[in-house]
Amino acid sequence: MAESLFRLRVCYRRGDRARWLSHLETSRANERMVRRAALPFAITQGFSAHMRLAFGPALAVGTAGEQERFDVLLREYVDVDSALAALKANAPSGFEPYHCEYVDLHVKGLQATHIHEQYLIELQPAAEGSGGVASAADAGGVEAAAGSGPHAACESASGEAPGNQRQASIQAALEQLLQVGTLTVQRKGRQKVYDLKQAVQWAEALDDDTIMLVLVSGEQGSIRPELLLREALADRLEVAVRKVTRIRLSDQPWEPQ
Amino acid sequence: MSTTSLWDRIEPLLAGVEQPSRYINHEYNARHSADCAYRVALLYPDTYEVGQPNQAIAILYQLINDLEGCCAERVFLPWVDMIAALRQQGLPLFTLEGCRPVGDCDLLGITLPHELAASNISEALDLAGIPLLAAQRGAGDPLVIGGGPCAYNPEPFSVFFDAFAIGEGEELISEIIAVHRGWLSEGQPREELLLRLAAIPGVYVPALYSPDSNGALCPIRADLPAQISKRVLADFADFPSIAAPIVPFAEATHDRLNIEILRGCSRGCRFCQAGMTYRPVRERSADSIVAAAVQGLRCSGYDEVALTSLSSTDHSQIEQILRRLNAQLHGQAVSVSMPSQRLDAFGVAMAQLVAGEKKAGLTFAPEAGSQRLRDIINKNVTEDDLLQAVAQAFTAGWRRCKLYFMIGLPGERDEDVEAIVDLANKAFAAAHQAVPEAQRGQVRMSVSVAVFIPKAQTPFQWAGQLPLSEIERRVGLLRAAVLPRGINLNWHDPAASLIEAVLSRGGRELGPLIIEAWRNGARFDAWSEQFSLEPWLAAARQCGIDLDACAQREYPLDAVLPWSHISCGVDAGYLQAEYLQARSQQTTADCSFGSCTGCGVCNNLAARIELAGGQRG
Repeated sequence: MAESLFRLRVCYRRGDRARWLSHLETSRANERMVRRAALPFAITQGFSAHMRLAFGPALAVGTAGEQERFDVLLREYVDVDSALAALKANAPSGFEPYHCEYVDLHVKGLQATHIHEQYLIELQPAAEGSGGVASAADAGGVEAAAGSGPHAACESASGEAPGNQRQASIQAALEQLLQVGTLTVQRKGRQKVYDLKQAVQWAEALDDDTIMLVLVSGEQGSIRPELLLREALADRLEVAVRKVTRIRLSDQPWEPQ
Repeated sequence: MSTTSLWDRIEPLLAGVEQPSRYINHEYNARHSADCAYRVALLYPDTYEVGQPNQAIAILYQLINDLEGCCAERVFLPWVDMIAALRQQGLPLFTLEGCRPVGDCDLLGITLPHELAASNISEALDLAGIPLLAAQRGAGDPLVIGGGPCAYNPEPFSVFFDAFAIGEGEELISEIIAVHRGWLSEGQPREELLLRLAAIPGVYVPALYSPDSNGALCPIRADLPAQISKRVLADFADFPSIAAPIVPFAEATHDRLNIEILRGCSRGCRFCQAGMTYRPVRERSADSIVAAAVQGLRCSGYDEVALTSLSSTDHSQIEQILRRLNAQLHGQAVSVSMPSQRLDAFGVAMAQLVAGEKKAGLTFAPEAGSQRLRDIINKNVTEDDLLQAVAQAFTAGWRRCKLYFMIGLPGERDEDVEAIVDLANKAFAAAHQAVPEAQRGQVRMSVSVAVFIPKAQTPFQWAGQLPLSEIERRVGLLRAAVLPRGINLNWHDPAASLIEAVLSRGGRELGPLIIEAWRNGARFDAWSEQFSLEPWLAAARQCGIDLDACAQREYPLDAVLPWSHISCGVDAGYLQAEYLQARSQQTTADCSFGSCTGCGVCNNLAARIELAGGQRG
């Protein structure tokens, strides 16, 4: 018997302390929210039956998300306002569902490649806290490709730059990194080489304390914004990352207003 | 006492540590009141994912938070990376809910789940900035109380504790809090607090007991009891289950809804401490269990409910419970599990009923390889029981199961160790037989072999542990075994088992040993990759303690034991008789299935056997 199913897409924010969750922990928290909300979810068949859920690209530990999404298959139609109200009432702390909609079963799933992930990175002077650009301890090693090394070229950018001179220094450092062309990341014993021309659509210092990045996921996933910034800014600017937020997920490139 | 949250100083550390979700609190159903008159910190001396599933903490958390003017906050020992970060920043051990220094609470309750947690108690107190020794604490320090399984021989831990709560804490906790709050409001000296605590039945205050010429710990005042008897919850059957369990973000070791369906087990395995200390058997009714499971799943969102107890298949209504739960939970991808299955009670019906739509883990514990040794330990199951249970399980769809055994049991011979391998092979063959040929490659069996630890308050409390070298030789017999692919055989570290035995059987003299071992670097001893014997050996030299003698000594039946002043309600005469029965390979039946076997619990304590279905079997 072919069951007719409804694909409900849930958009939510992950913030506050919940930004410290891993992707797996986030997925589990969402599944439990759906169960508590008593939505008529569909399950897989077989010995290890489970809820039919699909998640978007992973949000890194420590990163907040403004436009996160998951799809859950429902056995029955529930109007979107009721579904959203039930989810909101059962959301764990730090999770805020804000929109539900039905999506055709045959449209592309959330995990597709070439997703444009737009990040806002808030900076602070390095002395104020650890977890900075130079010490994001969980991130593994990074090195830019050898070549016209940007390291030597940044004398003017080092130290604490006053006023929007710092904004300009950050912008220069970002652009220098992009010119290098590739970024090599060591993580858990594996090495990944990213082509920065493809992986970074946009990199802009919005002001002295805020950077916007638009990263594009490829075959091997996407770069973590902290890694990119560490490579661009470490040893050159006395700044640390205060907070990273993924503000937008889209299959379309970001376009400036 | 009012202190501000440390969160602003803790959060910047999270980017540099593993699994920061352990430290963030705010899980679904966690309770927090910023303002309350009396604060209790409940510490499980291990990491979040190990401690969060602990049911004692969960029960006390709910009860204390429901008391007027009181709040409970959880505390777990951070993992080593976070401990280093805290120490580097000069930050103390903190509570999850309020993110406050543990040292600022009024009462610090520490559960003692097993002996290897000893060094972590030192680590936790030190990280909290609380003086390690109870004798050194003053007016500004919290009252530190211990409870849980190891409180049945509290002496090795007694240096750390102002008092111990012996037995079931549901009623005891509010009595302790009432006494403490009364004392706090009066400003009396600390000695007065200790005396008032010691007057509560079930509370043991080590400072008020000192050894006589025979080494027996005796009260220093005539108005104190010579023996402290455990507390027991007489109306367990009607006592409400945990209403809204905390749902962790981080993956806990048992990440599921737990419903305690019965308390106590009188199967009478002679090595088993829980089997003696949780008597008598009391069952919750099928109605209340099903209602609690359905309600608990609804308010937690878990996809698994475990029917927990020492022996869940023994519940007189277990089939009815499983049938009703399976019917109610149909189509929701929820599995119903039990922590382990009694071999002789695992029939065809059970095989089909457990786990519903999922076939999660299945665990059987034959404990010994040969019938002779199973008779000695009073594990009243046979080889046929095991083979039938395995066949039924694998016919019903399971493809993997776990078997638990022990080595080093009193009376064990080499052929008994070899019999473990034989039995595992037979069980594996039975599983193979039961599975369609095309699926036989999926059959997996995990065989875990623990080392026997003589435990206080059991018939084997007088028996010594084998020397480390002999245990290692017997492990060698297992190691040499030839096993088919699909059987995974593993054993506990004999060196860690030595420390467990020492702390299980020793007395008050071990307090300094624990502290020295911790100073030498011991912590997280229950984690095999963290455990090292070296700090303990060095501590033993420093303290002049012979670890081998402590673990191996055979106590005479009339000896004063280090725990003689603590009673779980079972008569010493019954334990002695059982030890003698073991020596003559005689078994003893389970009184919850038949007539009284005379352990004394129902006479000594205000509780009776309660079977929801009227009778068992």
